[in-house]
Amino acid sequence: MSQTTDKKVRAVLAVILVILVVVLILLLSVAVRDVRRAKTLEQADMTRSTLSTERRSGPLSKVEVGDIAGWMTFDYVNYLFALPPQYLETTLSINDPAYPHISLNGWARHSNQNRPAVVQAVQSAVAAHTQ
Amino acid sequence: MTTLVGPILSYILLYKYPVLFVVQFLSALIVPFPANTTLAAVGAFAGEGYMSLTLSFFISLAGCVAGDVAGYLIARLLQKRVTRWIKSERWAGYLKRLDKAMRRYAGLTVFITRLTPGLEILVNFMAGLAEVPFGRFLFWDTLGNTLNAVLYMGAGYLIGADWQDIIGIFGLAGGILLVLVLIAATIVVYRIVIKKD
Repeated sequence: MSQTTDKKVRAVLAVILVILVVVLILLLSVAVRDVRRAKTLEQADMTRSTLSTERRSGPLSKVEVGDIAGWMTFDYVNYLFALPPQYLETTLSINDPAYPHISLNGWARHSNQNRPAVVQAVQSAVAAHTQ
Repeated sequence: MTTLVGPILSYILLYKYPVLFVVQFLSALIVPFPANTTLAAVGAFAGEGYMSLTLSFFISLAGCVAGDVAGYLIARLLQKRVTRWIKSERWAGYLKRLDKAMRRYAGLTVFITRLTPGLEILVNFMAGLAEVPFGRFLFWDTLGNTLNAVLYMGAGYLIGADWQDIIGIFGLAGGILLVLVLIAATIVVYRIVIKKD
């Protein structure tokens, strides 16, 4: 009885081990492909940066208008793009008392508006201000 | 981005540090929240100057460690019940040897699994059941969580707005590490099973 249990457990463990090794091989092949792709992109980026004399400081990338997403709060958007606190409230006619401490999705829900349309409207308003 | 990440990030932007603590605590205890994605995003928020990097780091570390310790303590409280529940002598024997192996490799196991979400929760409970000394658990847990927070928050801080791109790379690396740890664990369990009393 006990030997049967041992055999069963060993068989299950052997199967698990084989599956794990296969998964590991798959993951490693994906990793190798990604590294190769990243190297190609890096080379292209290096060529571009050699052509440009501009030096970067701080984080490697900054939020652009197109990055504005529904989970962001109005306060965060105002901060990122250095907008006057009342600019979006006035431009988008926001009457929500929670403004600016409400997410874009939250405001869309409160005002029964379509979420992508709200994000689009905010992006347009920010773009208009920054231009 | 997973459906959970958006609302979590909105709440972090709204309430900042208390929500960060709760997310890290619950994800370390049992709830499968995307804790590492949150860490990278918070790193990016800190890079933009919207949140404090130092405060975010210590708050998230405290949340992780508190969640892990809670899981460990719950398992220690349930330890006797679990032992009583396993009536079969054969399985009790396996468990005894597994406990011994867990205690022997406790530090390394706790440290490495802090970098593999999901396994972390299981190992907290296993460490509690195996009665790994609390001081030892806390030391390796804090060390592992510190490394994890530095990696994810640091990457988010340095990369900035493109933090979402690094998540895929970290996810892949975490997946490879997870499979390696599982292979090691399977080999240890296999050796325990074939070992005769």
